[in-house]
Amino acid sequence: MQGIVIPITMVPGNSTIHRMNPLPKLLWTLGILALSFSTRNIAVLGVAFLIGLLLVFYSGITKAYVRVAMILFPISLTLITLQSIAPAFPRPWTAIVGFGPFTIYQEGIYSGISLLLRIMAMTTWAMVTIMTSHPSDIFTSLKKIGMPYVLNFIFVMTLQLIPILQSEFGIVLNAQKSRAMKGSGFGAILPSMVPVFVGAIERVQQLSISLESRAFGSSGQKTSFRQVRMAFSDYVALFLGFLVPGAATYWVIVDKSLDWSHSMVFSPAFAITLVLGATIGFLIFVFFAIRAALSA
Amino acid sequence: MSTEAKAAPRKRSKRLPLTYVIAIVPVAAALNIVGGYINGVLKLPIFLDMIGTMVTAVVLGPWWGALVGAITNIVSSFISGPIGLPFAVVNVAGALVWGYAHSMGWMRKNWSFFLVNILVATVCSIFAVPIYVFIFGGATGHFSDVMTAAFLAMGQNLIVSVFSSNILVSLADKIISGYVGLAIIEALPTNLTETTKLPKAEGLNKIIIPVVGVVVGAAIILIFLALQ
Repeated sequence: MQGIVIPITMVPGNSTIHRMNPLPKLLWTLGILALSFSTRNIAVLGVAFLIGLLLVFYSGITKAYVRVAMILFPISLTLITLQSIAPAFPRPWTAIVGFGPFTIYQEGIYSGISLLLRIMAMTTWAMVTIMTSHPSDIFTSLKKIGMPYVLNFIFVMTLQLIPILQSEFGIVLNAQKSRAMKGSGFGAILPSMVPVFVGAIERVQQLSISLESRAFGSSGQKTSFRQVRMAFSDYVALFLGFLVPGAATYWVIVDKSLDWSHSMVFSPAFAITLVLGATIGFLIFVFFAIRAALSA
Repeated sequence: MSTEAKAAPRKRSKRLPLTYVIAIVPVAAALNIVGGYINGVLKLPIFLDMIGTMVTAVVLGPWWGALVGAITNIVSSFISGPIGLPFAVVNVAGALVWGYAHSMGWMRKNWSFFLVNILVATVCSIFAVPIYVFIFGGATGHFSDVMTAAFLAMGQNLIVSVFSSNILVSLADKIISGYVGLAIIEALPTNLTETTKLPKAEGLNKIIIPVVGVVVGAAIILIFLALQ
């Protein structure tokens, strides 16, 4: 259901974060996700985002990360514009200044910035984990801590099938083009889904037979081609991954003084500049979205 | 009459070998992800990430469809960032409605199949709107953000605006997904589809007119209500 898909893959490297076991990285990311969803305090979210950024620089994935951040940019613009004029906060709202037919609200600016920082903090930490870990290593590690083998197989198979199905879509679309049928846009995509899916299902029968012949589902120790080990430092990172985000999440839930939505005051000049900049960017996004939709 | 003859037909997922069922799930999830990816690249005003969910929910049962829905969003969060992760709930809800509607026989006729897709769209929007509003503040960078802004400009609050824009996109998306799924099911091997009770798949050209009709009709109602 998400609106945007950004192809993110592992960026090879030899940083400490690359060499780390995926489990502590996953735990820290989940912890930051929980923390981000538990608070709207812009200082807490900002610190989580900045630490994530430091990890991005340290692990040498800056270029790939910037590409993702640039794609996320329109989301941030729409967030600021929508939130400023219609905050996702209970009324009453404090008006700062008029903006054409709309009114910019104190809570809206706060909400826009906090939601933006929430998305950036979550995405940055997730990117660090995904761009520094091989997907197979992630699932091998999860299997070691008791994730069911069948579920693990489904996850790995799904990841492996994505590029195959993508290339098959390309083949089907090219075949349509060569027969003078529509080869791009909405009218071409939908009919091409049928042969791609049915072709994949027919291959599933062969896969099923191979799985049966290799005694898939039988009990006993399962082995993996990729070996992932836990070093002492990984155990320390794992322990800290429980402790730090856990304690921070508890703190932001318990401490009611962290709600700055009414106490933080934004000047009319700041509000106008922020909303105007975001709106111009938003309108450019609208222009490109409509143009793309009409040409599809 | 023998006991076997009296017994109700077993679920398809139980008649098929487990390895076969398990191998279908990643194919369906991958199709969802690829559909969503292509949709994102082409900036189409829909989602296209529930076709595999629909096929699995109908062919194997609602909970296998729900598994496909959950896996779709979990795996896509590994390749497109965590924004889609909370929307796994929406994909699961859609699978359950399609799956149970089929098992209750609500998808046998053409008109009832169409209505089930509208029901799926409504349920998905009901689950999606709180995620949009309270987690992402009403925007995720999708085409529907434009419509959200338009509804806000008409004086609606954020929740109503997000619901209005989301239901329009969702109606188009789920009806199209339902009919593409129907065409896929019709083309599947008979061992998978022998007990499915569905109408005959229509050509996409015949579907586009009712889809546009429903979406335009819903848009007129929503705009009328917004201007009241």
